Amino acid sequence: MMQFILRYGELFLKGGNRPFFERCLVDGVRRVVRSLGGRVQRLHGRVVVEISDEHEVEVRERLAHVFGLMSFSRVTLVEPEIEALCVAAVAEAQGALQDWEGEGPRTFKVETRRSDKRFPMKSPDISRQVGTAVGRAIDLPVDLSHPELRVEVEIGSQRTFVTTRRYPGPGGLPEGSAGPVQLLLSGGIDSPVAGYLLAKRGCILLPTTFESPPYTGEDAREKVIDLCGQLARYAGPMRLRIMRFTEVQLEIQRRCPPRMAVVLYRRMMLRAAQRAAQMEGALAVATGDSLGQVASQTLENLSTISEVATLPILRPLVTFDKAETITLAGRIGTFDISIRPHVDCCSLFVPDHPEIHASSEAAQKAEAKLGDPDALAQEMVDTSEVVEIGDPYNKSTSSS
Amino acid sequence: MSEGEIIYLDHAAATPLVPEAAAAMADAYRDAPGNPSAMGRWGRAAARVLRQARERLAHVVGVHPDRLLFTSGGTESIGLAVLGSLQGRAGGHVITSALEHPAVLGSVRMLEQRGFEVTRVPPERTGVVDPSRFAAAARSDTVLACLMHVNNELGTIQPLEAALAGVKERAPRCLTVVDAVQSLTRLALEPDRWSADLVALSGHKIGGPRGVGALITAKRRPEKLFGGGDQEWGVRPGTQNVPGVVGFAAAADHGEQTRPQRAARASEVADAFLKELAERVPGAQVNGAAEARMPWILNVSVAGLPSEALVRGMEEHGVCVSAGAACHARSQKPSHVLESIGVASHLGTVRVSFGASNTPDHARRAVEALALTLQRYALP
Repeated sequence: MMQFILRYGELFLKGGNRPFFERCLVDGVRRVVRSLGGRVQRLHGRVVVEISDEHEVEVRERLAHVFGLMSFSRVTLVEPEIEALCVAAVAEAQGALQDWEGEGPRTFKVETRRSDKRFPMKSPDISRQVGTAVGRAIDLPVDLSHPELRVEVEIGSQRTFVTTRRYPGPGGLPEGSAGPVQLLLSGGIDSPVAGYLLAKRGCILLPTTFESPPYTGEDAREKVIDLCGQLARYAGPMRLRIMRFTEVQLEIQRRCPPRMAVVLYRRMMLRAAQRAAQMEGALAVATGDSLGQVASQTLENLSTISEVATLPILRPLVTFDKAETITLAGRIGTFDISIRPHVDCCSLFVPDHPEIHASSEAAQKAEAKLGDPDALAQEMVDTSEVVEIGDPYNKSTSSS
Repeated sequence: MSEGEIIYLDHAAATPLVPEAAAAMADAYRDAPGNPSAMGRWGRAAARVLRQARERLAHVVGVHPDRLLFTSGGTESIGLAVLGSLQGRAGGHVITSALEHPAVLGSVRMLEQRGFEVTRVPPERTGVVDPSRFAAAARSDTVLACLMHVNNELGTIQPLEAALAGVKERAPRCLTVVDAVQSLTRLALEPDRWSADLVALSGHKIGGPRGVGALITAKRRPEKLFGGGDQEWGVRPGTQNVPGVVGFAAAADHGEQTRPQRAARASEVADAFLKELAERVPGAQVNGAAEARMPWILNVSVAGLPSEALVRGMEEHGVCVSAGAACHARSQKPSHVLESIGVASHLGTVRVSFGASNTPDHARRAVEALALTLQRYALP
């Protein structure tokens, strides 16, 4: 068995709510290690995962996806005695040297954190004594300001450990700690990234997508399902709501000025998403909009679109350049899915010269030709389908 | 909707295995599990089954068994005919039509990259290549001419006899290649009358299995495209797909024997379709001249909906057709065949292709599905 110590970041800011955030974090960790037989324990300011050695690579990969984690380390647990600490530190340092990629470190340092004040030595003294032992064993000089190899000693009231292997976590807030958000998800590059960023801040994702069969096909739907599957690695299992947009889209095409079409599509989507949000208890609606990226995303149009919603609209990509979004999409594994060449309803019937300064009055006037937009939105919700997106780490719960 | 409820009208892409082929294949899997090139008893048994299949197919297509090579399908047969016949040649002139299947166009393009000069004769608006225009492209240095028997998207029959004889007159040493993938067991196969040296055939268009094809060769066979054993006279190395060719031969035999009845049924089904189409979708245009078409394939264009949406919309009503040919139906690019006969690019087009199991009622229900799709989804 091996042990990982997990560290979290901003949670210390949360005062009285800290236990809640810690619980969310532990739940998130449990979700990813459960199928590997990992055991999760909460200590003061730390989470410990105990797991069989064979899963080392896999568990590292999974922990790197758990929001709320700042970093984590594979550690050697030891008795809180100085001799034991020295032996363990030497072994850890030698192991690190063996696994070092490239030429190997030229300097090292021992850092001690002693939260259990019953331990008879003070941190600098521990570091000095352990450092002497390590230095003798691996024959490297100490560099206190920029060491290439860091040997960390931590003496807690429940656990004492030594580690040289610290891996970065994704940061953010723990899974689900912020509450549910209705995410408008297309098959494009942006909205999955928006979903990722919201999940990073603790949002529970309730994805909603729109399709226009027969203009869009089964492959477009599969693409959105696959995007949700990728997001589920970070955000856990979710339910994808699929709304049929064909009739509304055709009505807009048939009755409304072509220049207004895109703004009207977005208003209808937002209305329907908000209704679904209210039905499912979501506290906000989220989109992948980026300011000025396309015609529907000018400030005027965003404002005219937003006015149909009463819930807050979260737009995490609002200041992102396309290149930044693409880079992040690549890193989180949604880019390759997003670029599959399938038509989605957002790219259907887009006029050559869309209105880029649609006023609220113009939108309302155009919409009047549709009858009752709210009733249309409600019908989209009433006839929607739900696809369960299983947890990629616990396949048995998957039912999509 | 279950598979059984689908009205399948995409037989030009692949048609289900006929029971005769399935039974023959089951026998071959059971009785001839060996490698036909192996020496032992099982090998000899497999070689015997392979020989019988070759003789059976040769009999159906009316050539000597030594002129029949088995391949993995129509595309390989065509590649072997086009590229294998000109292996080792540095250049020359090649004629083909702009209507050909991508298998021909792709192989011809490879020749072009190797320094051959290619003339692609455009078809008339009827979907038929003018034989004198085709023949007139021949020159003294023309080494190869390719023309398909039936176009896979339009169902139009090409005037092979006039076109190829005309070529041979001007260029007697020119080899002629015919893609007969869509016409096998639907029309008579007459390589000699056509002046065809090489004829490409495929299994899964006629109720045989997928992954099997054949090439009728001239006395002089093409050269191999890759190395290996001496199977198929060394021209097509690799262990033969014994159950596959058995199924192919059985399907061809069955198809040829039932050709008149099936042709009569196909005409009946196509007529029902066209009659219903004229009533229910008056704006529809059937591509390819009526007098040049065989009844198994109909190509229909309408305004208001792109091809892919038409196909999906018809599937909502339980009818399976294709947008152009299956080989590039997913590419969403306009079909080169439709472009070559001047079909307007804003139209949506479906290919409806009938098989032995289809009835006039299926045809009417397909038109109904098309009409409902347009009514519900078309934009002006």
